[in-house]
Amino acid sequence: MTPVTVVRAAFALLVLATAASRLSADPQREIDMRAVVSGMLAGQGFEPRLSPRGPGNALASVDIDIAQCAGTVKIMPLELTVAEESWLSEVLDPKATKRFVYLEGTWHDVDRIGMRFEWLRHRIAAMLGMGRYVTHPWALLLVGPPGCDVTEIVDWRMMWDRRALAQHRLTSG
Amino acid sequence: MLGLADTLRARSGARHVVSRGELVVWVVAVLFASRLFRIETEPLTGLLDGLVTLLAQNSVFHYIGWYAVFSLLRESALADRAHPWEVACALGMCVVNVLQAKSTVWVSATAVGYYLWVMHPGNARVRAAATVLFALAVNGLWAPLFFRTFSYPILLADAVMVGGALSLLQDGTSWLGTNIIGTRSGHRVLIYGPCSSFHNISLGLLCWVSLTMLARPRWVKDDLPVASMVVMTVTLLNTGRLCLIALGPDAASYNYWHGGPGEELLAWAMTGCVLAISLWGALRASTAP
Repeated sequence: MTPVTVVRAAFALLVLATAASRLSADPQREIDMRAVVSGMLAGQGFEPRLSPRGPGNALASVDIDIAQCAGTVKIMPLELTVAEESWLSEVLDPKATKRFVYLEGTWHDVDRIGMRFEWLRHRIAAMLGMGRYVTHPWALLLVGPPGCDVTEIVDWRMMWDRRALAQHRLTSG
Repeated sequence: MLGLADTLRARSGARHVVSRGELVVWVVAVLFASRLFRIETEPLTGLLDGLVTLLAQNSVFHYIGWYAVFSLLRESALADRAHPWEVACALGMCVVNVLQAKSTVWVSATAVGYYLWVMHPGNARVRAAATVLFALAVNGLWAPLFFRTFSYPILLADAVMVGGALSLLQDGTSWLGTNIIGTRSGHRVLIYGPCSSFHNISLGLLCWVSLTMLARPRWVKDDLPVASMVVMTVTLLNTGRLCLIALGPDAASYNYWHGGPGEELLAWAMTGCVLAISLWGALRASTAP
């Protein structure tokens, strides 16, 4: 065999291997963050309830009753864009405790740049093989009764933690 | 008399290695296979159904783009022999693409485009192929990355266009952020990332770049107004669709224009318009004296 034939055969094999590798890969699944949150909370002994869905699933939430907060805590998955910001300011009780949570960060108000940096930080770590989290672009908005420290209810980082998700047989994309 | 380097090259068989043109075609073939055969949403069932599912996953503009790259590389007459390091790099890039999916293919397309652009400054067809590869990579990776970073201001611009158009059609419409309030039926419209015109703009420009480079591998000053027409058309059609969603009286109307037959109809209209404008622009300038 001449070197040309060897090189051509190698490339032809690579084309076939690429096709085979793509065809045998698992299809990408849509992230259902509400299912992830419900599953994780149920795994930690809570009784999560899914709130009714609106058109386009806007402002849909997972609700849990917390004794120490004397009321219901709503957990709303939001994309990092937080396109709902102006709507949220209308519909949410201004006295309610609100926290945006994403990976290892928490914010009192919408902070798109902060959340995007959090995504970037962990995305780079994942690319270097040091990632602990699944870095999909879904954050959580926690809304609780006034005075309730919603961030302390559970370890929210677990919602993106690769190992915890696998342990609870949950997928987040 | 042969020098030492020539003797070594002749003995090692390096002078028989494939041409640069063929090498790039093989790499592009691996990248194309990586995109064509990926399974996005559901496992394939039958052979025919599977084939249709695979083909339908990509936009027709992507097929035009890949065809343009292959066609331009074939016509480029890149007959000079590839260096061993070029063969090694090409093989390495292909292996990485076999192992890694997602954005690797677009990073590789950018790298191949850059290589073609830098290494062949005098060959217009090679540079045209590089331009189309850049356009594919922009649509596949760089534009979505830009959108992720600046999505909120882009969505605000969409909301201003939709809210502005609606306020001309009916009284009492206002908008706050991406939230359009005061539609006729009393519901409100919230503009999310996938609703933005931005995605269609980058896709429309891919079609325009591909057809222009296929018609003639050089840019002329008349190309810019054609690109503007493509951008304006896709923006108008997408804004029109969002207005129709807002004007709809009930949920059935919303579903018709959002994920239903209405959206499909407008997608076809957009495809037809972009193709017609791009073809007109490419052929008009190529036949001009």
